[in-house]
Amino acid sequence: MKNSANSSIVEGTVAALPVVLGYLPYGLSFGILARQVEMTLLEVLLMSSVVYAGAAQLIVVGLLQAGQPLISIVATTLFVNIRYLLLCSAITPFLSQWQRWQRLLLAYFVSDETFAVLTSKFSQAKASRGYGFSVNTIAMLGWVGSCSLGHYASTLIGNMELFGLDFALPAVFIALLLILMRTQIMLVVALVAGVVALAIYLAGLPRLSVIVAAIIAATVGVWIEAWKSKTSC
Amino acid sequence: MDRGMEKQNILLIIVLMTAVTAPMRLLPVWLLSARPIPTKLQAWLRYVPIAVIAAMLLPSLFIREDVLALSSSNLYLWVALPTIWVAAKTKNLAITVISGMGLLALARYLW
Repeated sequence: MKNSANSSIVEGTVAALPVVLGYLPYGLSFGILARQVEMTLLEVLLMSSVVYAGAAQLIVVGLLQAGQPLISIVATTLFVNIRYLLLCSAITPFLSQWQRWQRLLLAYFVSDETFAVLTSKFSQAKASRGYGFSVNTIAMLGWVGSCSLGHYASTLIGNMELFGLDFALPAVFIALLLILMRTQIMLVVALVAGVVALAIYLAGLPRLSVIVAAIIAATVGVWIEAWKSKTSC
Repeated sequence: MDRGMEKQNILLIIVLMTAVTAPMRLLPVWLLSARPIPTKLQAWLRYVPIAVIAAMLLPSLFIREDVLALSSSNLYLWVALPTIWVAAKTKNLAITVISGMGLLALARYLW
């Protein structure tokens, strides 16, 4: 019993290593950008361990840099993180033998990546606590570590214009956009969002630009999707 | 127009981000199930990250000092084009960010 628990911890740790490697560039980017909006190392540690949501964290740093209001930051975080409802609903059936606090603890540190690792394992074998918690712990430490490392590294570089570091945020967003973009509708959504945001900004309402443009563009995306499925059948 | 560049209270932001994120993870497990999200809403939510990112990106490239800047001196805009190409080719965050920053540094050096 003891032995199998140990081996599942080892197995979970090994399974989490590629996840950590995948986090590294995102965490480093977050840390560097967080420093640019004057977040302290403690705030970086807190946000990356307690909120623990890569996409939302990168987006929030962007919103801060763009001077967007608190309500936009909170609403966007909610919109971007509602997907955890789906992920955690999908993982719940595997945990029926676990105690409630164990289920809650596992769910709190579910990310897109650990979700993939955990569900693929749990669908093949009985959900082991050692495996689940070691995957989550290593992945979480990897995330917090790479965010902190990015923050620390950027304190070593005084001048932001050196190495083009001031372009890090636009470059991160360009990369994220093209990584996320899988359909033509998504391309349209991105263009609509960008153009509407520009228009609102130039109309003199920069603080509303992101949230209003995003809501309009996502709605346009759903419209096109509905219209396409109607005309195709 | 107030650009609102006053330093936001980061701790408050962390608390509020947690307040909207933690329930999403904990509720399904607490209830041992969750109501399915309507498919229309799911579709809408799928577009949100792309929409938010594009809405932040375009103004950051096209606007300098609160006005539209299409001139050749707006290096961000011109460096963005090859960066988009790199991102489309590689779909890799690290490569894209490093080449974007490198291109900007190079452009500044050559200017």
